[in-house]
Amino acid sequence: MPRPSPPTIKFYFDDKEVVAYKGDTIASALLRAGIYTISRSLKFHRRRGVRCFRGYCRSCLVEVNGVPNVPACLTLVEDNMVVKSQNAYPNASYDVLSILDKLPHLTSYNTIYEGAFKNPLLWSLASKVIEKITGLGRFPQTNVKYEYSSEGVIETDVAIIGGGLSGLAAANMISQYNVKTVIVESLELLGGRARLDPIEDANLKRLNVESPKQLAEKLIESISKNEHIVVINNSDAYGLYPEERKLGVYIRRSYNKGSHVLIRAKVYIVASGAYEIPGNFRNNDVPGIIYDYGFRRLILDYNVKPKGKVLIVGNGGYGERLKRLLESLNVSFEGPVLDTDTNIKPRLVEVRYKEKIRCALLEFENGIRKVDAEYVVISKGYTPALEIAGHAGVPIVYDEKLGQYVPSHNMYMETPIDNVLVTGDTAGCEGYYKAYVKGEIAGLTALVKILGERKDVLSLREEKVKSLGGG
Amino acid sequence: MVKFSGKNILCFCEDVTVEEFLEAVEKYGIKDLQLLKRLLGIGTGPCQGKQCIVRAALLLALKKGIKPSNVRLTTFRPPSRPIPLGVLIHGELGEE
Repeated sequence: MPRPSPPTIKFYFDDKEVVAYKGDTIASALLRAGIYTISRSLKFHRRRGVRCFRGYCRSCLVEVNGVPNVPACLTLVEDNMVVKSQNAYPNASYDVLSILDKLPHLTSYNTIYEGAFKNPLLWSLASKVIEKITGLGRFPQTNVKYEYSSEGVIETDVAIIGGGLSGLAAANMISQYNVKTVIVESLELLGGRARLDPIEDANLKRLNVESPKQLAEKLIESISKNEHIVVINNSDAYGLYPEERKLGVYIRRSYNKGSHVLIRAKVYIVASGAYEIPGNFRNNDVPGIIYDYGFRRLILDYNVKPKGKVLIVGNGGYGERLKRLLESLNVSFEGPVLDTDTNIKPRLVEVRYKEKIRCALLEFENGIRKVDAEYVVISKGYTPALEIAGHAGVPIVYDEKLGQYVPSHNMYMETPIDNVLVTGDTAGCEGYYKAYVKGEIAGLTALVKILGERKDVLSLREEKVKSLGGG
Repeated sequence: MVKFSGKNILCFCEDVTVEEFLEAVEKYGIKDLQLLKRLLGIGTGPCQGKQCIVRAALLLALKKGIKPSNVRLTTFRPPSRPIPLGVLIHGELGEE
């Protein structure tokens, strides 16, 4: 566990000294210090902070020692680091340009295309102003040193993108046949969301484990002992080119350091997981609103304990599981409630904020009630991460039964692209048990492609497909 | 009575509101997500549509009364995650 712990180190955020623990990311240190707003948005200069806390939402981009657009949630604090907010004048906490948020009609695209800006003279004037006050960060200063290097090419049999439950299940299956596997994981630890879910799951009884966490830990242990598996942590798989057998990976080392590695595999398994379905209510973007998986990382891995109440949004299985986790940790919470996706009450309609969340407005059958909250956690559910399968050429289809867009695949997790398989939540979010079994099936299909149609592999795969129930 | 205020944001990176998106769909009659992306900028920010494209597709289907399967999602292009440009030069070197 990364669990930040003493000794303390200090760094600067917008010229203010902040104390962090060793092992803290910039984001976890700022939240622990009670700093929620760490940047401003592109157009309206709305407050931005930590939202996904796992690297994909890019809501927490900051300038570090002169380097712009550094994700605060993935970057470890170093002693005396100078961190600055972006798109904020003069700083993130008080930004004079946030006046733009109050003038929606001026900045609406529809107004721009239809209204006064049709005038070329006016537009050329306006575009100059827009160029000045919008954009992502400032151009890096000349004295900034970058250290990028190449780690060359890794030749392997199977490359798995994503070290969550299904990616690990696939790797574990493949390794039993002495076939080489590389796992590319975006975070510092394997196990994905399952590792952060210690609550009992009845579906997992069939696998002789109590909780997703237990299953993830079992897999991590088995994999760490296996010489056929290579794990690359803190890495972004940025491009998959199946025809050329190329997977481009960027390994993050620090805010200005990184390496490139090219992975040439016979089979690629896309187990990139899923992204949270965002909230549907007014001010659904303000700091303090944080997604399910990231919130689990924040309180369990980074030991940032909420000082106030937590409002859980989403009362399907995900909200319920978060509720049970918070109960077990003695964190005070409200909910789970729905949001304006539905008419079912109570539902969250608006979040009010200043420096941080002030309150949430819940609509009940008999009126509106204000509730206090420090964090509003979005646990509505997940939608498959489509981009890697998508640009590898796998068509995206809509699964009517699940109500999700998924990469096109069959029951063996094969896609129309011969050497690309999809699995786990990427192939449709259906809970831990199915993610695990789908991982095993993808692993077995990869084995079929590498070892040929071996009888034992094929029959085991049929067995696994049956245990998924209904294919 | 409580008066509601504040924006319901669809694209968090490019600051596009749900209201603005629906206006483009209803007032201008655009039902192609690719066109909406080019008009409004949804999905073109640092998160590359990870938070908005699916939500936009479902919203479009709902407003137009069509099946989500008939909405074509925007094209996925690498890099799927923002990476420093400087590191890409090592991608080619790595092949030698």
